[in-house]
Amino acid sequence: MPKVRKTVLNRVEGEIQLKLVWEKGKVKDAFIIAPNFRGFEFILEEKPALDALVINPRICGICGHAHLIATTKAIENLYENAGLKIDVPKNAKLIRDITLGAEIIQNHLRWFYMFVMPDFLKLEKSKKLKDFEPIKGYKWQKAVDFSSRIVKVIAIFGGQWPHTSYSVPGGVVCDPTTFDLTEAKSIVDSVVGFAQQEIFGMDIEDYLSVSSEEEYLKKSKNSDLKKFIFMCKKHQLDHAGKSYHRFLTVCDMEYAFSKGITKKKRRNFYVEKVREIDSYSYLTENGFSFDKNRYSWAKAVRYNGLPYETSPLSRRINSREKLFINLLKHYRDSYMVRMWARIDEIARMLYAMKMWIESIKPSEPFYIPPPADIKEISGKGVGLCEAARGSLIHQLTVEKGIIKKYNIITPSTWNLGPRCEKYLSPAEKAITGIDSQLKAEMILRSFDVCSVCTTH
Amino acid sequence: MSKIKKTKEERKKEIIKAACRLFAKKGYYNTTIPDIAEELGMSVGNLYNYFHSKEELAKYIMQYSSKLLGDEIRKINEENISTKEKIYKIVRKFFEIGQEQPELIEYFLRVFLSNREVFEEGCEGFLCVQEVVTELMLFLEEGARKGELRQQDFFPAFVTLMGPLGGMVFLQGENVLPKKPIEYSDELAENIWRALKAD
Amino acid sequence: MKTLLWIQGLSCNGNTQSLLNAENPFFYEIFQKIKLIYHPSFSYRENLQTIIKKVKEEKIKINFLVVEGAVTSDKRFHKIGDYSVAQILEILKDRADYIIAAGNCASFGNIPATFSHNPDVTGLQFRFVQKEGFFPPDFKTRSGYPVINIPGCPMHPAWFTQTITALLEGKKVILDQFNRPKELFMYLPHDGCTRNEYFEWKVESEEFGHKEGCLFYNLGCRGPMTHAPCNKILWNRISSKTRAGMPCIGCTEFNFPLRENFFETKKNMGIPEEVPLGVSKRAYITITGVAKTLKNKRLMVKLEETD
Repeated sequence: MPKVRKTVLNRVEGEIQLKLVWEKGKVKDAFIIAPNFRGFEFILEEKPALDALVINPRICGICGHAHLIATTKAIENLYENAGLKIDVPKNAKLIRDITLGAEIIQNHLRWFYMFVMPDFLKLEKSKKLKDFEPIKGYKWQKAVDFSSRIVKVIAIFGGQWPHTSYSVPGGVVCDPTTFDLTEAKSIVDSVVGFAQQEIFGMDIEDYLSVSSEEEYLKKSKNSDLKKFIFMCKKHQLDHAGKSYHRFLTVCDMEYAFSKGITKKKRRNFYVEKVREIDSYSYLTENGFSFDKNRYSWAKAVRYNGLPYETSPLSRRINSREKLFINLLKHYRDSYMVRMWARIDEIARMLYAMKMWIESIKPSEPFYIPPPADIKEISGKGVGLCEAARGSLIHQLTVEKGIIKKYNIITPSTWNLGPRCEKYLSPAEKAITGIDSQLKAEMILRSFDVCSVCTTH
Repeated sequence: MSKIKKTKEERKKEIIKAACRLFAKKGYYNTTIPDIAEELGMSVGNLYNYFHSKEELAKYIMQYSSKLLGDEIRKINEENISTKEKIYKIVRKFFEIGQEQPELIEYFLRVFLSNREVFEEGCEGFLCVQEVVTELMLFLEEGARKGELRQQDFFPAFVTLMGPLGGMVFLQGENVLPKKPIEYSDELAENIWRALKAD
Repeated sequence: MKTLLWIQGLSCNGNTQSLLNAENPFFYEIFQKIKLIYHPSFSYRENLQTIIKKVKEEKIKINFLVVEGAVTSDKRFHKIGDYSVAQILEILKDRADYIIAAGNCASFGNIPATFSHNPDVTGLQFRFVQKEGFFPPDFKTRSGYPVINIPGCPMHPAWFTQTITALLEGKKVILDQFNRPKELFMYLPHDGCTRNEYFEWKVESEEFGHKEGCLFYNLGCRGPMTHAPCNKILWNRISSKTRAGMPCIGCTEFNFPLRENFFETKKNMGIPEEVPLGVSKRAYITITGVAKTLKNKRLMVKLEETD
């Protein structure tokens, strides 16, 4: 007789409950329950379109900036579809990437040190990890310092983090001086120092040329990533937590990653192939339903009918990066590989941020006013963005500048949404077959759980 | 103390009246301080006690008129009546002042608007007519906020309101008006209201 | 050691994230002075159900109860385990010395309270301007304070840490009419804004993307009408929205986000409908006219081109 146990997960963004069905000591089925709902898509209806720039970042306190970028791009796409293309200045595009990069680094640092490492404290039960202990541990404190330092870059260009609305259709609101840029660069340099010293145990540019696990372990000094890899192996997490081995990335970022979908081979991504299925969601086509089989405020998202993981790992795979292609060959999309990709991205983003900052030309524009007032615009727009946790899609329908419909598909909806008739969600799939409650939770956390985004 | 002050103010008023008369008759440049003193039967030295220069006097007249009209519009603004009624009252008040102190309006049209160089420093833009402009801004803002007036930029609305009043006084000055301006007050107010009201 | 318990209602977690950015004291420094009994993002051994049980049995004492997020009793829309956040508050409300609303959602309801399908959403003691929050208007904690509101979307970490530190040291915290610490919320974002010269001389920004120009006249900036020390205690200790070029959206106020068109100044006949706090519209218009006429030449050119 299967035994069902429901637990509340902490150390995630918001509230997530995990319902596990156990049989013969293994998870037979897993349900990821996202019980909280604020109704952003409803709240946005009938609001002036530009107000979405203020409302949407507030979907999420940790990746709200990605929601701002997706909103901006959706409105810019709306203009384009109405025959009024906005030529966003190069400087503005760079600054948007820089600030998004800073948010992603912040997220990965906090997630790794605050949400992930404490699991190993429980698992290892040894004094060796006391540096990672929440609040007291030296490493935990460093993670706070440097994750807070990198978001100062967003504050330089956008005034604050969290929750600025500094990116607007036509560009960005700021007009930085040369010295704002040198300060931003200095902040990045200092975080690079931390990453080299503590996380990677080697120069980040050297790290980025590493192409296999062996090469990394050989070349790096003592580091948290190395420690992490060893602990994964010790606890058989290098092979556990596999999902569908399908990866989705919706947009490119110069120096960082390319878009695409990978099943066996890499193909182009087409937004028209994205579908939401509400058979297990409280949210339905016609409103709400609390029927017994429904268990989450999130909907299931499918691409061409299939579930896909979207994440830093997806970005690595769709960019055909050698290290991760190799890791995938050995371990497939396991806990360790998924986690490594997140940590890896800290290096990749830091490197890209430096390149982007270098490319800004302060004497050139940061904003060009859209060719028409938003009140004259009707139609549809789609905004695609790669957020910390993966692909973010915003879709809106506007009549004379007023939002008639707004739809948001977050990375967490892709990964942690409920099942559809045919498939479990990628995270549910990854948990099944696991033999311990703690490991089940750890695998769930490897998707970097953000419940506030999952349901919004 | 206050008695002396009051007399000084009274005296200033008389100077304004006389100056306005002469400016209108002879033109601004052809009128001198001694001319004004003579008209008033006071010594030139004494007149200089009140105004240090002809330019100062010219600017003072504008400020004085602006305050006078501004205070009247303010009273109307503070009344609890509809925007339409306020337009009727503002128009009537303007013509009443024109009737009681025609020299002030004449001065505005024939000196202030025609000799801008005199007012370049310290009286440029709206500086010397601030009270009137402020009150009209408040009036228009309130009317639009209440939804009684159509939303538009300030300047077209301002000109629609003030232009006809000036026009009427100008025609009177040219002696072509069969009736006194105040007798056209309600008709003019109705026109202004219809031009400005919300659809 | 004094204790702190943190719970979350309908929230984006932005206040927690903002608090992690704290400096002087840093996040981990404040929690060396106060024992963090539970926080959903950081606790790894404790669980809330057990803690609530221990609080009921008086095995754990709570000095500070911090609530992030808006309150609802409707479990269809929000649950913590089997509890609603409202139920948890009922249990804990008389057992904490101080209750602190961290952020605008817990203070006034904010975005979650505008969701029409769940009309039950409120702040702790307010629902927007009305004192119709989850707790009654005359509710006071054991210390005699009502719920202390530290609004802002998100709150600035220093607003929180300084309030806590002051209370911890037994200092009296004066509250304003919205129960915000007066000595923080007596400032306006306008105070200390780098664009103040443009405000003084009424040089208006017509569009984004410039260091020059005041954002108040056209671009909707609420700096002169909002209570918050954003340009005194800088954000991330480095800048602020208005310094960067983004209009203040008034996110520390009770009525956020009820307004529409955040990036547009509401005007009638070209005249701002609302004027800076403390000034009559008549006085404001007068001074605007004078400033515009007299002009400051320095402000007519790009900053790089000034003398």
